[in-house]
Amino acid sequence: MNLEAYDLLPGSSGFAFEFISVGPKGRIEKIVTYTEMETPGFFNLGFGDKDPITKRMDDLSRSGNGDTEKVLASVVQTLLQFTSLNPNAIVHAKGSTKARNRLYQMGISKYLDDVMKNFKVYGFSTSGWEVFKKGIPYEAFMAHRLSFTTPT
Amino acid sequence: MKAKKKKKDVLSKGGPSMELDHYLDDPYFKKKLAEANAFIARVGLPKELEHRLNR
Repeated sequence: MNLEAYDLLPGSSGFAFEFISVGPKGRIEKIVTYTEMETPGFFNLGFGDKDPITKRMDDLSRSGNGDTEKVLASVVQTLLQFTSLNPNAIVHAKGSTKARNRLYQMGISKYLDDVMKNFKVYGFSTSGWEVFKKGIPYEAFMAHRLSFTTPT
Repeated sequence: MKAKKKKKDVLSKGGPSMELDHYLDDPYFKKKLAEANAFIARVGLPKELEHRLNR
């Protein structure tokens, strides 16, 4: 996958990443986290903007910095790094809004052929979970490396 | 006239940041994790991955 992405700063645990979006609204610090869910081996992908003053995450931010594709590519890079260190991890992602889910959907659809070389991707719609297909409005996503193995 | 030095749009290179790991405990991400757990408890997992529940 050869997408233009921002430089990533990883956390020492390998479960958190930071990058800086640059655009008309200035420099916006973005944080991506992978947190293990109640089901072992499943990790929730968290994504958001850091408040420049409090340094806490800003739940209501809508940065709109004109660099959507580069931001998406950067999130994909964190997924590549995270799953290369944790090859059996299954990553769950669900946008906090319909708009953010559409964004994830667009990103996966646009690079589907590349994504499918490394990952198996599922989408959740009104019909339940299925292998990701273009053009279906999904509410949530899951992905794991194709090299993923089931522990015995 | 000397061109203004462009502000770097990349993070400083270096080793992994311990500071970043604090975000794993940020209330925003805790809330997202709780929502994700509740969502999976409600809708289940893709059939192919259900065996992971029995580990």
